Amino acid sequence: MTRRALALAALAAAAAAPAAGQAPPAAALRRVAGVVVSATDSAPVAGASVAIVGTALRTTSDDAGRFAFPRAPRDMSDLIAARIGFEPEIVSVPEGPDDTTVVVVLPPTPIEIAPVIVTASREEHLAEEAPVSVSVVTGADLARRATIGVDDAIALVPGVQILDGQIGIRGSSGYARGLGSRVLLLVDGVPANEGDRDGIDWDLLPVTTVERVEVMKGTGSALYGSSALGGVVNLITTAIPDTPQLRVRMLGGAYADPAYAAWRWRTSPALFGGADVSLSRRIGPVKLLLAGGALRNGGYRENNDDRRMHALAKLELASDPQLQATLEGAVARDEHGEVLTWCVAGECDDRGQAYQPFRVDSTTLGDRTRADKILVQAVARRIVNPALALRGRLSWYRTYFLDSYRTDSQAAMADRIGTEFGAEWHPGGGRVINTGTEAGLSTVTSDLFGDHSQTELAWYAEDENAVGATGRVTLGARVDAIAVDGVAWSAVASPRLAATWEWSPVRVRASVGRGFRAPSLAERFTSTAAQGIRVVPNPNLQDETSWSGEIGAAVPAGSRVTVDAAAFWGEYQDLIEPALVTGGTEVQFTNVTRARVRGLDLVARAADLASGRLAASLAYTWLDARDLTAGLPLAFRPRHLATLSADWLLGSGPAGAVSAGFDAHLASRPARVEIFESDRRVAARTVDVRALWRRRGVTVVAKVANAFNYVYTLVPRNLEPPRTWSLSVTMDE
Amino acid sequence: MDIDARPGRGQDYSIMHLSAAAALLIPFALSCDGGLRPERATSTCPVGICGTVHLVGAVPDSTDYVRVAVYDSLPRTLDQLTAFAGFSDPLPLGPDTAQYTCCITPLAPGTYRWVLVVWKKVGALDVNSAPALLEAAGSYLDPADTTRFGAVVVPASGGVGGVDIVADFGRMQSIAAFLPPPGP
Repeated sequence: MTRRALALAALAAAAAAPAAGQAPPAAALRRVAGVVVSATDSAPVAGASVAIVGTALRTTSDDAGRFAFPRAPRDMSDLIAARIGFEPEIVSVPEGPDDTTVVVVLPPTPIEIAPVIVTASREEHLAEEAPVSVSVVTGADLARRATIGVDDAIALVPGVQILDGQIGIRGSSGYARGLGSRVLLLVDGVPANEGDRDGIDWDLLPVTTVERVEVMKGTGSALYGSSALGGVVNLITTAIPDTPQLRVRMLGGAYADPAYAAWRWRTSPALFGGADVSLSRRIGPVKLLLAGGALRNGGYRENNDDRRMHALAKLELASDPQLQATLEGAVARDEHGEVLTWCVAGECDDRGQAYQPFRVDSTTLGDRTRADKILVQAVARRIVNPALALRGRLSWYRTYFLDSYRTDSQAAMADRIGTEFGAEWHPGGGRVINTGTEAGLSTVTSDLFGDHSQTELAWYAEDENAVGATGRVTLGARVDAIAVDGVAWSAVASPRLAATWEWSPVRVRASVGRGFRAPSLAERFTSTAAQGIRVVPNPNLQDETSWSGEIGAAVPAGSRVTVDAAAFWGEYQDLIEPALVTGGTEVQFTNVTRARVRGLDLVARAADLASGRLAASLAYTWLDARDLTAGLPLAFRPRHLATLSADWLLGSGPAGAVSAGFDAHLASRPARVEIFESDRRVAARTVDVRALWRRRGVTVVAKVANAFNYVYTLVPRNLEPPRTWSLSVTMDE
Repeated sequence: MDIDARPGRGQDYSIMHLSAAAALLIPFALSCDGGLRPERATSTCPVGICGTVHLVGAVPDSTDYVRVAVYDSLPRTLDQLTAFAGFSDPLPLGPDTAQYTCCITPLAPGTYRWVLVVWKKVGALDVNSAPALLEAAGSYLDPADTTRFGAVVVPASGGVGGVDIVADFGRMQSIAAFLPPPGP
C-alpha cells in the first residue's frame, strides 16, 4: 500500500510539473521594483516580506527597503508587503511599462504581531489567514526577556509547558525525560529532532541568532509527519543584512540562596556568565553570518554545574532573485553535572530534613553528562515562473551523548539524514497547491539502544482554495512509510481539512486532522539498568495516533487591543508510556493509553495604552487531559496555565529609553504525576521583573527571575531555579 | 480596555494602568508563599510501610538491584515468587551506605506476612528464572519472636513505621528455598 501511494505521488508530481513549469513568453513579463517605507517617518523598512499576490514570487526588502521582481507577470494586479511591527499592506500595481516602480508605505501597528508566518503551510503565509493557531516569539521578546536559552522564552507561549526540556503544547506531552517528543523542532523549516531519542536540543543555536520562533499548536502531521503529533516549533534564524553587522551579548548573574536556612548548602554564591558574538557581512554574491558563544553556569543545585559552547555559520546566496539558497552549519556542546532527583532523608547530609531540594544523593555526586550536536543543512527555493516555485533541502543532524555515572557509563551516537523536494504551484484564482516528497534515515550506535536504523519516506500535498471574498479552505494529506532496521514497513495517512474566513472584523479559523508519532529508536530498543530498574526493549511498539481539531477566532477590539480565542480537542490512541512489566520488576515502553485532551486558549494583547507607554498581554489556557484507559487525569498536565505580561516605557530622551516590565506565570498543580506520586506538589507561580535601557545600538537588561524566590517543581524531586539575578548587555554595530 | 489617549491625560492613565497591573500582580505575589517548605524527617510513616534497612557485608558483583519487597502471604508456588504485593525503590548501594530509610508505597490496606530485602542477580527475570535470580538477604522479624517472620498490618489510612530489617549479603538464600516442600 505504501509503495503504491508513493508511486501515485510520484506520478502526480511528474504529471503536474511540466504543465506548471512552462515558462510564459517574455512579452508576458515585466520588471517590478520598489521600496518599502514606514508611514511614520518614511524611513526604509528592511527585511519586509514582499510578494506578488496569486504567484510564487516572493522576496525580502534590503537594508534600504528596496525590492525587485525582474520577472513579474505583466497582468499582475496586487503586491503585498509585511513586516513585524507594521500592518500588512496590499498595493495595486496597474498594468504598465516594462519597468514599474512601486512605493509601499507600511503603517506601524501598536501591537507587535508577526504578520507573516511559514510554519502553518511550509511557505510564507499571512498570519491572519492561517487556519491553525500559531504563536510567535519575536526577536524583541527574546531581547527583552534576556533568557539564557530560547526554551525559557518559549515556555511563556500560551498553551505551552516545558518540563525539564520536554515541551508539551496544549497538553500533548507529559514528561519522559525528553524521550519521544510529540513536538517537532524545525530549524529554518528543516526537521531537527534527535535521531535516537526523538528529543529536542534547545541549546543547538545561540539565542542571539534566532530572529523569531513560530509555535504551531495542534497536530501538524499532515505536513510534517511523525513527531508533529502535538505541534511544531520552528526556530527561524536571523536574516543576514547587506551591510556588515557585529552583535555582542554578554550575560551574567547569580542565584539566590535557598528560601529557607535549613536548605542552605553552599557558602559562596552560584554564578553564571557567558558571551555570544555574531558577525555578518556580504561578500560578493553571498551573505555570511558567523556566530559563537559560551556559557558557564555554577548551577543552583549541588552537582548541577554546566558548560555550554555553540557556533553557527550561515551562508545565503544573494545574487539571483529567482533563487534563494542557504547553507547552515551549527555545532554545540553541553557538559553538565547530572541531577536525577534531589536528596531525601538518609541519602546525603539531610540535616534532619525529609528532603534537601538543593542537594543530591551523595552516591551520585560526580555523575556527569556530555552532549554534542552537529547540524548541517542546505535549503534552496527556485522560482521557475511566476506560478511555480520548487524547493529542496538536504540535512544531517548528529547527536552524541555520554553519561558518566559512578555506577556505569552509557553513550549513544545518532545520525539523522533528511532530504526533501517540493513545489508550490499557483494555478490561478487564488488557489495554491503545495506538494513534496521527503526521505529520511536515522541510525544509532549505542550501548544503551543497540545499533539500529529507521527509514522514512513520505509524500504530502495540500490544496488551498479561495472561497468567496474572504474565505480559504485547505484540504491536504500526507502519507508516511516507515521501516525499522530496513524491514517491517508500515504506512500512515494523515489527512487535514482546514478553513479560515472573515466576518469582519472577526477572523475565524477551524481545522481537523489526523496525527501520528512513530516510536523513537530509543523507545523501541532501550536496554539498561538505572538505579536498579531494568528497562527492557519493545521492538513491537506501534505508532501513536490522534484525531484533533480546533476552532478559533481573532477579534480586534479597537486599534490597540486584540483578542484571540480557540477551543481545541484531541483524541489520542496507543500513547506510548513506560510501564512496569514482569511482575513489576522491569520497565518497558508500551502502547497503553487512550486519551482525550480538550481545552480553551485565550490571549488578549493591548498596546499603545497610556499615551503609548504601556503594552500588556494576558494568556490563559484551560486544559482537561484524561487517560481514558485508566480513567485518570493524564500525568504532568496542569489544568490552568496563565501568563500576564506588561512593559512600561518610563522615559526616553537623548540618554536613551528606559522601560520596565514583568511576566507573571502560573501553572496549576498537576492532578497526577507518574513518579513519586505521594510527594507534596504545588502550583508553579513565578514573577520575573526586568528593566531595560536602550541607546543607539546598546541594550542593557537587568532582570530578576522568580523574584519572590518561590520554591516549586515541575518534575517531581527536581527543583526549579530560585530567584535569579541577571544582567545582559547587547551591542549591535 | 480602550482608553482616552488625548494629550495631557497620559500621565493619569499611566498611573491607572500601573495601579491596575500592580493589582493584578498582588494575587501572584500573595500566592508566592505557598511553595514547598522544609519538612522535618520523621520516623512515622505517612503511607505504606517504612523502616530502616541495615546492610551487612559486601554487595556481590553480580548485583542487579536490591529492594524491599512485600508478599501478602508466603509464596506457595513458583508462579507466586514474582507476585509481590509491593516493593521499594532500589536501595542505594554506595560504599558509604550502611543503613537508610525506605518506604513502600502505594500499598493497599491489609496484612502482609512477609517483608524482606530481596537481592536480584543480573539477568532477565521471569517465573522460571526467579529461583536463580532472586535471593532473600533479610526479612522483617516478629519483635516478639525473632525466629518468625513479622506480619505487618497496613491500616486504611496512614502507614506503618519501624519495619526494620537487617540484610546480610553473606547469608542470602534463594527465595525459592522458602517455598513449602512438594507434597507426596
